[in-house]
Amino acid sequence: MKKFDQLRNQFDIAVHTKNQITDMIVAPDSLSARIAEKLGFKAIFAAGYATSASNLAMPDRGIADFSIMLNKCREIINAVDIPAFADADTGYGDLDNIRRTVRNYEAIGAAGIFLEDQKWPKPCGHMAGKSVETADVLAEKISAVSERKNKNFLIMSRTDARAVYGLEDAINRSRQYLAAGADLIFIEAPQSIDELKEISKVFPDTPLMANMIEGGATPMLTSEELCDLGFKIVVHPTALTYAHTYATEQLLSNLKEEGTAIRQENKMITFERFNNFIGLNEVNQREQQYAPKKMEKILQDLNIKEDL
Amino acid sequence: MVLNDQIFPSHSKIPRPPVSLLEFAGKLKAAQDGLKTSSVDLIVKLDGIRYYGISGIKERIRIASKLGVEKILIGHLETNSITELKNRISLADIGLAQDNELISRSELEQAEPAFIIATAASLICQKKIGTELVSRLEEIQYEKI
Repeated sequence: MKKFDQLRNQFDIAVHTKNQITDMIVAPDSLSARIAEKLGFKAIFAAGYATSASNLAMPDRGIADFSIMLNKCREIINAVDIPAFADADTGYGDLDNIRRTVRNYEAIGAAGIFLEDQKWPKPCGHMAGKSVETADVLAEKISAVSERKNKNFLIMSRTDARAVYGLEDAINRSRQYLAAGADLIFIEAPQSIDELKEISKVFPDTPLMANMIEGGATPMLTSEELCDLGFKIVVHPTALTYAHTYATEQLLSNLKEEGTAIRQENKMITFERFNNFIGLNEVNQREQQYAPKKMEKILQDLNIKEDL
Repeated sequence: MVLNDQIFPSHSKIPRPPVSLLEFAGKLKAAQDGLKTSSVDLIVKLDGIRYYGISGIKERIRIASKLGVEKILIGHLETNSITELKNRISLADIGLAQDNELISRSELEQAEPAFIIATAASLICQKKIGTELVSRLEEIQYEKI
């Protein structure tokens, strides 16, 4: 079994394990994903808010298109050995587009994607001015991709109807999405702990995701608290983007003022530690592993002399 | 994924000399070890017939096979070399690349390889269509003026 299939299985099992929550940090880039992996995170999320910021320096308003999102996810997947889940927005078009979107995310090795019911172009789920399609639109999209190539590639339905029509409508939509073939459910932006509890009560047997966005509409709870409420996945979409922005702003302000970053060194990782972290030793070792000297035995076994 | 055996950077029209056998083995093994999905096949393209001859092709096929790479593509063939190649190597499981203008697709077809990748023919066709399109656009522009 190759790596992608293993990672998909790993994620599938994790989100279906009782009394356990999978903590996913949204990584704006491959480096962040690698740091999360080294610190013990079991899964990574590639999502629109962070990608719009890191790739385009633009807000999450549906400007980052399919190819940008897919490529970001591919880069992250290639950088880590933990499952990566992807934000596939509305699927980027009609049913043929959705099928293509799913095929592509499967091919790059994603553990799954979520598809949402906002109207395109769409803002972040915690921004004002959202509008949603009728539930049939996303239900049809989910039905269209229920026959994906890998059964362990999970489809999550996301509804943004809470902000538009209220919680009851969001729950009803999610029931419809579940019936259409969704494996996981995400109701975006519930506004209280009671609402989180209600969602959990209605879907006791389906893995649910909660979105913990700093300054967003949903109360901030710890992963443990969300696990106790019955959620199986928690995602932190903005923490790293905000932290990166803050750190960059602080350092550059100082650098501009003083003309040197020397007094900021205590806030940086060292040259040696960074090289160790980023895997310089591993790359050097790999180079040795396939070096001509190591390949001599293969030629000897075949009675071939290297004379070129 | 097609991996050729020229010294980097490889050239399409006139091939660069091949990497040594040891480097060739190292690259193939690294590529095999790096494959992370069963949906990708590794094809090794042997581009150095003018440097290492048919015996060199045989050697490289043996090395590739030893490393688990069974899909072979032979490139940079010429009219003279295709006959000798066909006489000395079974092409039933080997592909041929029509990657230069010194040999035609039909000549490669006569050798009955497992498959043909005709990049040169595609490029010529693309260039022809592009030239015709530009000419037509220029005509239209001229008519308007």
